[in-house]
Amino acid sequence: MSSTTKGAGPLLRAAGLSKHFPLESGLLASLRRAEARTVKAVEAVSLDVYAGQTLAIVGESGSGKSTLGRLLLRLTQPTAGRVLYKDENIFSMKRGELRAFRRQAQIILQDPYASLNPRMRVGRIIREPLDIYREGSRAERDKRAHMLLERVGLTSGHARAYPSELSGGQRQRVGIAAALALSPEIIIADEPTSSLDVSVQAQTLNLLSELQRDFNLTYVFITHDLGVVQHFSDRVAVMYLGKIVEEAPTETLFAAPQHPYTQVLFSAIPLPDPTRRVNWDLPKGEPPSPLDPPPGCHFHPRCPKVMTACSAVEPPLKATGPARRVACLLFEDEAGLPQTKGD
Amino acid sequence: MNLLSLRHLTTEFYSGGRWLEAVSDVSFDLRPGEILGLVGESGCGKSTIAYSIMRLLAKNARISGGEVWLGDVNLTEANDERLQDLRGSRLSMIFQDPMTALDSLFTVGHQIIETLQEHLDLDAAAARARALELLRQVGIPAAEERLNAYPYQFSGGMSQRIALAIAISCQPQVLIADEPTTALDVTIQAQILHLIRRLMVEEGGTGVLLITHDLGVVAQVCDRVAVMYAGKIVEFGAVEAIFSDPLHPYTQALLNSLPSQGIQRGALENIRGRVPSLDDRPAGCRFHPRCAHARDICRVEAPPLVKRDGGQEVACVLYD
Amino acid sequence: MKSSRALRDRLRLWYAASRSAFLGGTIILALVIMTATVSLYSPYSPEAMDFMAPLAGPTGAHLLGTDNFGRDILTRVLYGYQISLAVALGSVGFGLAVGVALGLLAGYYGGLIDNIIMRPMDVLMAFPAIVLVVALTGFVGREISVMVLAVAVVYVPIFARVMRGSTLEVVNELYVEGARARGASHLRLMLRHILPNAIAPVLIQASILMGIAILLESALSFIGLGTQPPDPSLGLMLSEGRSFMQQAPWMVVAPGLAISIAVLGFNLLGNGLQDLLNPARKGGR
Repeated sequence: MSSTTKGAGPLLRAAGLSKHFPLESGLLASLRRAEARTVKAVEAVSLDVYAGQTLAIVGESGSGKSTLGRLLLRLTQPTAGRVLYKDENIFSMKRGELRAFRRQAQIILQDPYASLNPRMRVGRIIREPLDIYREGSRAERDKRAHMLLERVGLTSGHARAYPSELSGGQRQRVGIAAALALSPEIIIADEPTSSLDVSVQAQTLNLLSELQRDFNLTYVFITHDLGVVQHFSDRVAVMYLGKIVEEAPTETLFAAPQHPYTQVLFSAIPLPDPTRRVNWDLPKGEPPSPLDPPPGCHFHPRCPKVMTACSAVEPPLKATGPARRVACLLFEDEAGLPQTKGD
Repeated sequence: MNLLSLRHLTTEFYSGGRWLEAVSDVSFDLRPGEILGLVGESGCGKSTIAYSIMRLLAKNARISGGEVWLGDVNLTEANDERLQDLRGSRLSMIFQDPMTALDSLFTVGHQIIETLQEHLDLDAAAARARALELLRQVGIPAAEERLNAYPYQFSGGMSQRIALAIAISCQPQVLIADEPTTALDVTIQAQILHLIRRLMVEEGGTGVLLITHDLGVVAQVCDRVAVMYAGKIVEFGAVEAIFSDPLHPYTQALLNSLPSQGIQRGALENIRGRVPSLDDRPAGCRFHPRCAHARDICRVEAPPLVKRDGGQEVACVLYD
Repeated sequence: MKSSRALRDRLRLWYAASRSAFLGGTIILALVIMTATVSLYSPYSPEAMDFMAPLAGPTGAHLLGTDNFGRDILTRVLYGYQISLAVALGSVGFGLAVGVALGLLAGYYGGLIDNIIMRPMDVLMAFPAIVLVVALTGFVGREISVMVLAVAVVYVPIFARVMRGSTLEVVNELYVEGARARGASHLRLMLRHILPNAIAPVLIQASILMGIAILLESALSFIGLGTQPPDPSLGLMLSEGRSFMQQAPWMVVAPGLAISIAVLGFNLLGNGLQDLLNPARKGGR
C-alpha cells in the first residue's frame, strides 16, 4: 500500500502538542487565574504522519483522540507544541498559507447525521469547497460535484436531494465526496464508520481504501474500533488519557501488544468467534476522570502489571523496536534506535 | 419449560396512511439460564420485538398478530394493570441509554428501594439492605455512599450498572437487554457483559434476550442466536454452529463484512444495495435483491424457517 | 393542469403538517389581499361622509353600519388594516434585519463582541415597551414612520437575543466545524451555514411580534399618539367609537373584532411555525 514518498520525511508532524481546556471560563475565572483548573485533553503528543500511509489513532472516550485530530487541522488552538505540515508550523501560518493548508488537509466527521448542513442540497454541499476556493466556473464546479457523487457510489440524481432524504451510509458518502472535492493530500477521518451498520461500514471502508489507492491519499484514522484499525491502517498510536502509550506498525502491534493498556484493550474486544471466548473480567475499574488523572503512569490504578514506581514516575515514550514506541516502565530504551520512524 | 415464547408475532407501524409490518411472523423460545442473541442491522425489527414483548410500543405501533407468552401469561392479552405488575418483577428491561431507566430527580438508592417495595413485601430497612447488596453485586464501589448519589454523578458504565441493579432487583425470569453496551467503551462493555452473564444466567437461571448489532458480542456471550433481516428471522441456532457454518446468504455476507477477520487490506465483502425501508420490502424472500444466490423462485415465494439436521434453522430455498 | 395539482398537493401537505399555521396563514393572506385591493371593490371612500345616515346600524348598504359622520365602517376597517399591517410589517422587518444581524454576530464571535452588542440590548430591554414607544412618538412625531421606528426599537433586542441563543446552538454543530475545516470564511459560515439553521425560532417570534405590533399601533392611536384623524386606524376608531357605545355599539365592536382577528391570525401562524420548524425529530434518526 505504502509505495510512495517514503523517507521523504513526514507529511504532517506533531511535536510536543498539548491542549488543556479550562474548566471555568468567563470574567470571574480569569480574575482568579492562579488556581485555574484544566482538563488535559492532549498532553505532550508527538507523532509523524507519512504520505500515502494510514495512521490510526485509537483510544476510548476521554482519551483525547478527537481533540488531537482537531489540533492536527488547526480547528482548535494548542496550549503548547507545534504541528508541522511540510516543515511549516500550521499554528503560525498567515491567512493565505492557512488557506492553502486547509485545501490540502480535509476532514471526514463521525456522525453523518450531524455533519451535513440540513438546509443545503447534496450537490451544493459537495460543491462548496470548490466555491470557497473559486475553482473554475460554476458549470465546471457542478460538473465536478456530479463526478464526485458518482465516484463515491451515488448518482448525479442525488445532487438535488437534501441530507435528510439519504440513509446514513449515503450521507457518509456525501461527506467523503465533499472532502475529496479539492483533491487534498491528507484526510483526517474522525470515527467515519462508527455509527454505520456493519454491511454499510464495509462498503464505506472499501470506498476509502479505493480512494486512497487512486488518489494517493494520506489518512489519519481516529477510531475506537480495533477491527477497523487492523484492517485499515499501516501504523497505530494508542492513546490513554491524553497521552500516547504505544505506537507501532499495525501488524507488529496486533501480533504482540507491549503496553499493558493495549493488552487490556485488545483482550476486551469481542471477537466474532465463539470458539475463542475471552476472559471478560480482565480490565478492572473505570478510566479515571481526565479532570483528576492519577499521578505517574495514568494507567497504573487499572494495570494488571503495576509496580510501586508506576505511581511516582511518568514513563516517557521509549523506542522498543523498529518504528515502535511504548510508554511503560516495564520496557527499557533500546539503545541506538531512533525515537520515531515510519515503517 | 420455556420462560418466554413468541408465536408468530407480527408488529406494525402506522406511517403515511397505512400500517406497515416492522416484524413479521417471528417465533422463538427463551430457555432458563441462556442468553439468546437477536442480531441484525438497524431497521431489521429487533428492537421492535423487545418493545412488543414489554408491551411498550409507541402510539403509532400495534401488535397485529401472534402471541407472546411469559410462562403461562399471554402478554399480548394482558391488561395494563397486569402488565405493570409483571414489568420489573418477572420481566425486566435495560436499554442502550441507561438514563432511560433512571429518574434524574431522585437518588439511585431511592429508585432501587422504590422498585423493591413496589413488587416485594419488604420494610424500609430490609429494602435498603437489599439495595446495598444489589449495588455491591453490580460492582459499584463505596455502595453505601453511592446510594445517596444522583444519576448524573455516575459515568455511563456506572449508570448501566445501576440500571442493571434495578432490572434484577426482583429476580426477574426474563431480562431483555436492548443494545446495553453500545454506548460504552470496550473495556467497560466487557465488564457489563460479564456481569449480565454471571448475575443472570449462572446464578439466577434467568433467561436473557440480548439485542445487539455487534456480532462480536453475540459470539462472546450468547448461547443461541436469531439473525434478523427486514423484520424476519432468517437463521436461528446455536452460536457455535452459526459462526462456524452460517447457512443463510445474509448471515454469510454479514460475517464476511466484518473488518476484524485478520485479513488486512483486502476488500471487505460488500452486500450490494441497502436494507429496504418498511414501505418498500420486496416480495418473496426479502433478501433476494441483494443476494448472490437468488433464483427465480426467490422473487415470488417467501421461504419458511426450516429446521435442518443439526438443529440449525434457516429460511432459504438453497436448503430445500 | 399539472401545476395546479402540485399546488393542491402542497397545500394539503401544509395543512396536514400544521393546521394552526395553515389557518393563521390563511387568515393573514385573506386580510392582506382584502386590504390591498379595497379601493378596487369598495363603493365608499374611507373619508366620504354621509350626513343622511350617521350611526346607522348594519344594513345591506353598510354591512357593518356607519359611524357618527356616516362613514362606512367596513371600508374604514379595511383601510385601517392597511396602517396596522404597514406598522407591523415595517417594525418587524426593520427589527428582524437589525436584530438578526446583531444576534448572529454576537453569538458567532462571542467574547468581547458579544458583550459590546448585547449589553446595550439588555438596557433597551429593561425599559417597558409601551413607555419606550410613547416616549419616542411623543417626542419625535406622530407619523407612521416614527411609529414603525419606535416599535422596531423595541423589537431589535428581542430578535437579537433569540438569534444569539439559537446561533450559540448551531455554531457547535458538526457541519459548521466541517465547513470551517474546509476553509470557509467567517461570512460564509454565518450566512450559509448558521443563519439558515438558526433562523427558525426568530421567525416564530416574528410572527407573534407582528400581532403585538398591531396591538401597539392600536393602543398608540387610541391614546392619540399614533395615527391622526381623519386617517382610518383601528385604534383610533375604537377611541372615537367609545362616546357612542350606547347608541352604536358596532362602532367599537367592528374595529375591536378586526384587531382580534389579525392578532389571532399571527398568533396561530406563530404557534404553527413552532410545530413546523422546531420538530422534536431534530437529527432525524
